[in-house]
Amino acid sequence: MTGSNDLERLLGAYLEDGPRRAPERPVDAAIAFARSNPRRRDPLLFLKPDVMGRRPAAFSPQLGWALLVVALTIGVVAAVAIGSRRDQVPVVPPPVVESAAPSATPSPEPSPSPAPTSFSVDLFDQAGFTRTLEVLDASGTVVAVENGRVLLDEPVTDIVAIADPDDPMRLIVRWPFKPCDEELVLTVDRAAERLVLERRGCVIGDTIGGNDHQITLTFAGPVAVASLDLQLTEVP
Amino acid sequence: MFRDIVERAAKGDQEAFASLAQSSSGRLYAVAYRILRDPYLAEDAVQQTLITIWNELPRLRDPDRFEAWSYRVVVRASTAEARRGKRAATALRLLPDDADRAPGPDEYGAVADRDRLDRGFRKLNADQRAVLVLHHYVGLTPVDMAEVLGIPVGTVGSRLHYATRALRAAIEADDRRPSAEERTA
Repeated sequence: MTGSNDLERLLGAYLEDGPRRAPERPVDAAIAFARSNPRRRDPLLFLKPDVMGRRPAAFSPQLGWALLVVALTIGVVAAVAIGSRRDQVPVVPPPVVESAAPSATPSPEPSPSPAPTSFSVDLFDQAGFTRTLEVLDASGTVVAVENGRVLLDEPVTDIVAIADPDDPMRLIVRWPFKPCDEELVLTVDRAAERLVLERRGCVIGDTIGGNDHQITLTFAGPVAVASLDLQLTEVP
Repeated sequence: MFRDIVERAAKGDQEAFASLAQSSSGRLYAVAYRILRDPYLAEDAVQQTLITIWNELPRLRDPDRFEAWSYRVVVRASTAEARRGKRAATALRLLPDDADRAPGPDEYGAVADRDRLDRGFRKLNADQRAVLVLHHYVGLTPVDMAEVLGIPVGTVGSRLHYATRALRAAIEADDRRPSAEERTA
């Protein structure tokens, strides 16, 4: 058994000797497995490589499909994000330009109603609890709402509004804390002249251990603080 | 017909899969047994092969390549089973019906050669056994083996060469070992 041909001949005969029929156990077990694990339709099957595929090419069809899906996903997400941001930008009424010549029509047509917008801002109290304030702006002139810092000095007993000394379009609104400040809604009326803050009424506890809240509203134009009507109401 | 069964099984038809498993199990078991030289390990390898086929069959784009793919799966399952080594080698020898018949003068040599070959073959690792089984038992060409194993044809050639050389070396090393009579003398 020294020759190469002898070895191969003997090896062939050696390998011929042996079973050619499988026992039933593994076959039955596999069939039972298939019955207990029905195959589900795989929507991403077309992205998966062929099991008999050779080494992946530098740019295989599967890779192309995967890149296309990723690109489409990014596009859809970007479109949704841009769309949601546009929804939040208030519709600022166009500035009224006075005509040099007197008009023959004394009463201009009413301007279309501005689209109401809403904002949501998180408030943090001294103990670290978070409360959410919803701002419903019917005037369409509120551009942004920011959470202000918690004030530990100059406590207020009612809702107050202060003009931002650095920016005439910004309005600082403060109100006293209550332990049950959990459902807060600030409404700005269509004329942007009345601000109503609603919150759930408290039976006990009230202002014990609390601190004031503050937010800053940014309007599309200068704010006349003196003419603002502010109300703090408690709903049951 | 066979292509139709493969396609139906790929779509989740359990009856088609049962038919496919029964018709393929013989050749799969034959390969697994010859790689592992152990009936129990071969059973486990075949079971794992059939389960893999059920799970992965939808990813086989060309049903006509089922046979080649199934060889690939059974070779991988067998080499994995060999590495796992969860059972001691039982070396269950299936004797032919006429095993108790005394061999003739020419047959003594054949039996001795076969035993030497068996001892040498068992010393090879599972990868080496697999290429020898695919080539000398299944009868695949190096090109077909390259497709089955998913490796270049050149690598198939070198594996065959080294497996054959290792087998010859194992047999020659076995020949150099003193027999029991020589050791006691």
